[in-house]
Amino acid sequence: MKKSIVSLAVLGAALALAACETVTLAPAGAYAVGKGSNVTLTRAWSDFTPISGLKKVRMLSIDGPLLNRLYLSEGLVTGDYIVQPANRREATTPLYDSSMSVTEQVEFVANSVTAMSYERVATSGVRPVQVNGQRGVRFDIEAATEAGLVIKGVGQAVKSDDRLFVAIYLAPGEHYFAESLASAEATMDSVTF
Amino acid sequence: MKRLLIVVACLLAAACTTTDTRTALSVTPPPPGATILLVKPDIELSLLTAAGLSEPRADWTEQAVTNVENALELSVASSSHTFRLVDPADAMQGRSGQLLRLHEAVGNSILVFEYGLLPLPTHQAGFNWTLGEGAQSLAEQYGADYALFTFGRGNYASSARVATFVVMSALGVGIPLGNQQVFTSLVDLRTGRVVWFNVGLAGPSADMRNPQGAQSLVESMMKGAPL
Amino acid sequence: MSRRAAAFVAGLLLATASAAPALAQHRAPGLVPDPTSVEGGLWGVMERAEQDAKNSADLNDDPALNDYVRGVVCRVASDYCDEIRVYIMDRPYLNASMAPNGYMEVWSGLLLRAENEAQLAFVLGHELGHFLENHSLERWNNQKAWATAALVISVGAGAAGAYYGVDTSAIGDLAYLTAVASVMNYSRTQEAQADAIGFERMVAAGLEPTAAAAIWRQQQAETRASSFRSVRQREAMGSVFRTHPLTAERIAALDAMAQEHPGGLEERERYRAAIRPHLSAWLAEDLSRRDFNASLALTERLERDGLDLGVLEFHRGQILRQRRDAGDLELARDAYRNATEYEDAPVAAWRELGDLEMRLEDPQAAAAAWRTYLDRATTADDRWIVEDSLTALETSS
Repeated sequence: MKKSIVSLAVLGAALALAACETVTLAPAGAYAVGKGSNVTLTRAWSDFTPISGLKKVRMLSIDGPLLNRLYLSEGLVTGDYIVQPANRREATTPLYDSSMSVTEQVEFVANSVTAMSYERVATSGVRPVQVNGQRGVRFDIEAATEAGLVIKGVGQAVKSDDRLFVAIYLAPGEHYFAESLASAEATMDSVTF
Repeated sequence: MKRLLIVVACLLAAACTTTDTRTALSVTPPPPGATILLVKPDIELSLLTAAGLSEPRADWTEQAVTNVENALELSVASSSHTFRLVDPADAMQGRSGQLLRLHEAVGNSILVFEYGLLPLPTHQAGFNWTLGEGAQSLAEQYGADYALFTFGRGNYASSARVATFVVMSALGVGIPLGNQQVFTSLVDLRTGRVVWFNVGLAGPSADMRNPQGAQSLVESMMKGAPL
Repeated sequence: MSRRAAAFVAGLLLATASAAPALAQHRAPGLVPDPTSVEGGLWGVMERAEQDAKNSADLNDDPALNDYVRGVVCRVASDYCDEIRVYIMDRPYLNASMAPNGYMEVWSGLLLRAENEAQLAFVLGHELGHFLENHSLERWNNQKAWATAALVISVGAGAAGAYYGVDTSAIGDLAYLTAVASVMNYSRTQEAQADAIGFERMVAAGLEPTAAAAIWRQQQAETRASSFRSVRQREAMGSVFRTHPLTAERIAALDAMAQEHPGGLEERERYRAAIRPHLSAWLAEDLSRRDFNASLALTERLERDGLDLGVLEFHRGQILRQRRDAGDLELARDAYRNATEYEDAPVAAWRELGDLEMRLEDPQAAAAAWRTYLDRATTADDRWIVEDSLTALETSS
């Protein structure tokens, strides 16, 4: 019961027309992800980061977060999260640990997608990638919204200097996933740190 | 569209039904005799009590769904098209189910981004929303060219509420007297594009609990629809 | 039932009632309310909630499991069986709820936590008790329930969470709020009444009387074992949506009732056989709550009968590895090692074992485990990761 009111407040705050924070444009070209990390966007995206409450992670979208999202993280260190826990004293969302194996990095990303309220999250097709001279992994994601809309995605995890750089692209399997996949993957290819 | 109820700041309660329309660029109306897939209206009506709480009313909801559906059929027929009815409850499996859920997500996105609640810088060049080419499978399954979705949520003030309103007004305090918000969405099933979208606030003469009111409401909502 | 609720019930247009149930006098089977009434409004809301459940990604429609659970429902529901529609939802919290129109949800979190059919039957009978006594109508008449339910229906908590990287799985607060749950906030008296009805019906079905107190007691133990202080500080609930706790009084009452009845059946093996195909998936989902200590307590409980040890020890390894407290990686390694002794061990156990043996500086054991993984997991898409690990190991030695 409390949850719905809290969520309404969150939604309401974001929908406040007088909000100082808003959705901005991230034009094609260089885009700063955070401390020392950049990507090159092959097209313009809308930047939802200011209203998303995310730390160390940027969230981009083209048609709104219900239809496509691209998460890009700074270098994460032990104790960092992608999804912020509701109660900061209790770790209800996945935390990164720099001792994680590659398999565990994939698991960390999948668990974080679950923490974003997606259902039935599964990963497959984990494959090696070269990003900015470092070896990392990319993998397919499948999930669903609670209402039953099938969601597809691609995840990426690349470690450099003991920091993990994560990227996640998620969109409904019907039309939207394929529509922006090339742009999302090109962005993932272009991560520098 | 059950999940998102938005008070659209730019619409004010007025004596007549007010609507706020969005149309996709370069829309050619369907040719005469096109088949419109009429999706059973998703409507929920409640009673607004004196204390300001909404009590759901099953009978009003049922009446409104029937009345609005009948009014839509008349509207479609009068524009020389034919219609096919579908109850989403029967179509939630398989690909049609995915498309219906996708339409809910697209509709919610339109409400948030096209009606001023949040900006979407990547959608500045006109109204441009789609379900994708998969909509063709709906066209094939139902033998239809377009799909028309209708969604309504609202409440009607109880007499106790009206009495409270009178008292509060005398004290200089305004309280909401209930309203009913409707939106309609027209999708070209051959391309998947949402070609027309309308949000309306029902006026007092457009009470969808009775057939004439539903008629009036649907007329206002469908005025200017590219049909 | 309160006088006010009784008046509402009297005002309802009742459909023809069939024969009264053999047990205590409750609502007539096949009751359908007048759509203009308050109860009619509640039913309308519940019908929509039922539609949502049907279309939800969480629905578990496995035929064998549904047959089994429906069978248990009918065992306690007797002549109400026909008007009940059961929906099993894959959600990792202890919950079962029943709406006045006969729509019932049973969550996988409950199915994991019942140790046998008798315990499941008691909880389902308890929910049936709320249904039989029209408790939800009483709550619905409570204006607070209306306002909250209306809020929940209007704006899905999940929808808000969808826009942001906001954790909507916080302890005790769930993204899965449904109209059913928001109304099912019963009073102490109602909970005690439902306990009694659940007990009565469980025993009438020939099931073990001590099962009732047992499952509530387990729930208390799991709550006390939680990793989260805020959960430990809250009392255990008979459902994650309740605000009235499983008090010592309620458990004592059930103990006392059990004393007056001879022993009955537990049907442990049959119960475990029914849930076995889903055990792995449900345990993995339970872990997504990230309450590691509660998950460990649950795993321990499931291991008590010596069944499914491959799956359970693997799962213990998963919990410990993710908890990562000091000494946990050793404990996880031991758990994965144990798992591999059993036939039902998931193939991933060998991969995880290899990874941990390597980290804990036993390269020989690591290599052995990895090789077994590669032998067994012929179609796994992460073979190349294990192959790379093996190659790195072999070249460095």
